[in-house]
Amino acid sequence: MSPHDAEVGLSVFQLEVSFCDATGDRFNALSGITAQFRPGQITAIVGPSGSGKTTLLHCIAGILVPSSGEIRHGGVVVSSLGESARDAWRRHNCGMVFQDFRLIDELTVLENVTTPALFGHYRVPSILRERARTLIRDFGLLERSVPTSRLSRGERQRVAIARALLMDPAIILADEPTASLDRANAASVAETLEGLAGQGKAVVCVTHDDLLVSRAHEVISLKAGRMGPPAVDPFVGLRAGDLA
Amino acid sequence: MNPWPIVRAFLVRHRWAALAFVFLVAAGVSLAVALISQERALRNGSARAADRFDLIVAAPGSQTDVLLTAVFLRPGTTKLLPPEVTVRLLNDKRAAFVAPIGFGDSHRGVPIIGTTSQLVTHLSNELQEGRVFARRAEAVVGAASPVKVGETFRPTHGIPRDGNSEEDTDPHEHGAMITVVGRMKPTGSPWDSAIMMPVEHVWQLHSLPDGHEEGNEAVGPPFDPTRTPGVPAAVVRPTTIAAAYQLRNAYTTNESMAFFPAEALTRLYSVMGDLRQLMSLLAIVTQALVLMAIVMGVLLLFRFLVPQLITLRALGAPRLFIAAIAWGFTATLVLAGVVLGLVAGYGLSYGVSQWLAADTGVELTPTLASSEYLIAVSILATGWILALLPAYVVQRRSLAMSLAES
Repeated sequence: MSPHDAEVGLSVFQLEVSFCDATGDRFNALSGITAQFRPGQITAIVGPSGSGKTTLLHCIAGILVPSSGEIRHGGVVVSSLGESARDAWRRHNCGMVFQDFRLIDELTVLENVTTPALFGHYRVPSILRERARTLIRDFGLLERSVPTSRLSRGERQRVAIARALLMDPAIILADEPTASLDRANAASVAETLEGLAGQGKAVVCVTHDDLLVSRAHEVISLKAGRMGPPAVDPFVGLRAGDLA
Repeated sequence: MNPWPIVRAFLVRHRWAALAFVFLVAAGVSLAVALISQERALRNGSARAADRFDLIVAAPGSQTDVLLTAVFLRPGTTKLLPPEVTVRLLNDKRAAFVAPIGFGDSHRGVPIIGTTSQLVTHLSNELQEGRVFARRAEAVVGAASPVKVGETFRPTHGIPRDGNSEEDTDPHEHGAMITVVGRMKPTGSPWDSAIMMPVEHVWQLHSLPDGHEEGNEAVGPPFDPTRTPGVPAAVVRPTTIAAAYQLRNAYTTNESMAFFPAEALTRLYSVMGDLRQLMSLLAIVTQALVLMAIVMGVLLLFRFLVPQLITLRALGAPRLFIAAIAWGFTATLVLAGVVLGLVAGYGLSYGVSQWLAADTGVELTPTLASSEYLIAVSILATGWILALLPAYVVQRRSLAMSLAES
C-alpha cells in the first residue's frame, strides 16, 4: 500500500508532464511535482506565465493525464483512470471555476447553476434544484428568469461558483477566478472561496492575485514546471517575481 | 441525461446562422418536393380532364394537337373531317352517341363550342343549374363560366389566343342572340369555363349546312347526311369496349384518325417522363449541393459551439452528453429545414397549380405523396448522419488543448 492511500484529500506525487513543441522536441511542462491539497485549505498555485500552473490544475482535475507520477484522491488513483472514469470522477468530486466564468449566457441563473445535473438526469432532481436555489440565495443572487448575460461580471462569477458547488464536490479548482473582476468583486470571490475552505473543501486556485494568495493556507510556486521554495511568508507576504 | 436545454440555448445564441442554415435546407427540399408534386398534379389533372372523352375522331394529323384542341380547348388549327366521314360516323350504330365539336366563336374571352346535348349531359351527368339547350338560340355554360344562367349574348367570331387577341383578324359579333339556359357541374377540365351551344347553330352562324333539312330548326341527331358539313373533331361514346376498338380501327384511315385520349396522354407523359428524369437529376444535383452546404454549414456552426462544449467537458459532462449536444444542434436544424421545405414545397406546388389552372382551365390538385416524403426523409436521414460529424470531431479533440485554445 502506498503511503498516499492513507491520505485524506488530494495528493500528487512526482508528477511529470511532457509535451512536444512545434519542432517535435519534447519538453517538460511539469517535473517532479509532489504536493497535497488538504480539505479545509486554500492552496494557491502561483508562478510566471508558462510556468505550468494551468497544466498542474488540469492534471489535478483529471483533464490531463501526466506522463508519469500519480494523482490520488482518497483511495482512487485518478491518473490511472480511463477518460470516461476521469470525467465521472471530476463530475462528482471537482467543482471548476474559470477566469472568464464560462456560463451559458442564454440560460438563466438557476438553469446555469443546475447545468451539471443534466449530465446524469433528464430532469433536474428536486433535491438538486433546491440546493441550487440555496446556493443562489447564499451568494446574494436573485433567481431571475433573465439570461446571465445581463448580470454584472461579479454576479456572473458568483453564478459560476454556485454551479461548481451544485454537486457538493470535495475539491474546488479555480483558474484565475478573480483575474477579470474589479477589486471589490475579487475580494468578494476570495471571501467566498475562503468560506468554502471553511466548509471543509479543498480549494485549489491558480492565481496572480495577491489578495487571493494572502488568504491561501498553502502556496505552490512554479518556475519552468518545477516547484520552487515556498513563495509566501505569512509575515512578509508574496515574494517579488513570483506573481509575474 | 438531457442535452436539450443546452441545445436550445445554443440555438438561441447562434440564431441567425441557424436560420440561414434552416432556409438553405428548406430551399433544397422545397424545390425537389414542388417539382415532383407538380409533375404528378399535372398528370392526374390532365388524365381527369380527359377521362370522359372516350374516343376522338378527327382528320389525320397530330393526335396531341387534336387532344389539346378538343379536350383542353387550346386554340389551334385542325383540319376538318371530310363531310362523308362525318356523316358515316354520326350514324355509326357502334356508338352510344357521337358528338361533333365545332369551334370558331367566343364570348367574353371564353370559347363557344358547338356540340350536342348528349355530350353536355355525358360530361356533367346532371346540370348544376337550369337545363340542357333544346333550341338553337340556347346555350349551357361550364361551372366556372362568368356568364350567368338567363344572360343573353351575341357570339363573337374568333377564338381568343392567350385570353387576349382574337384569332380572326377582323373579330365581329354574330347577329344571333343566345340565351344561357343551364350550367354544368364542375368537370375539372377547361370545359368548365366554356360555353356550349347546339352545333347546328355554329354551322348556321358560319353559313354552313346546319345538319338538318332546310327550315328544320331541330337540334341534335339524327343529322341529314346531305346537309352535314365536316367537323374538326367528334367525341364518340362507344357502346362497348369491343365497339371502342372496332371504331378506332374503322376510323383510322387515310381520311380520318381515331384515338383514345388516354393513348395520346400516355405518349405525352412519356415525353414528360423524360423531362421528369431530367428534373429528378436536377433535383439530385440540388440535393447534393444542399448536402454539401449542410456539411460546410455544420462544420462552420460547430466552430461556434466548440468553446461551450469544451467547458461542459471540463465540468465533467460525459462524452455521450457532448456528442448528443453536437448532434442535437445540427439535427434540429436539419429537421426544421426539412419540415419547412415540405411545407414550402407544397405551397410552391399549390401556387403553380393555381397559376396553371387559371391559365389552362385544368383543375390541378397538388398532393404530397410517398415520393416527396421519401425525399424529405432521405435528406433528413443524410443530414442526421452528417450531424454525427461534429459529434465525432469533438470526441477527437484534446480537452486540455481545447481549453487552452478557448
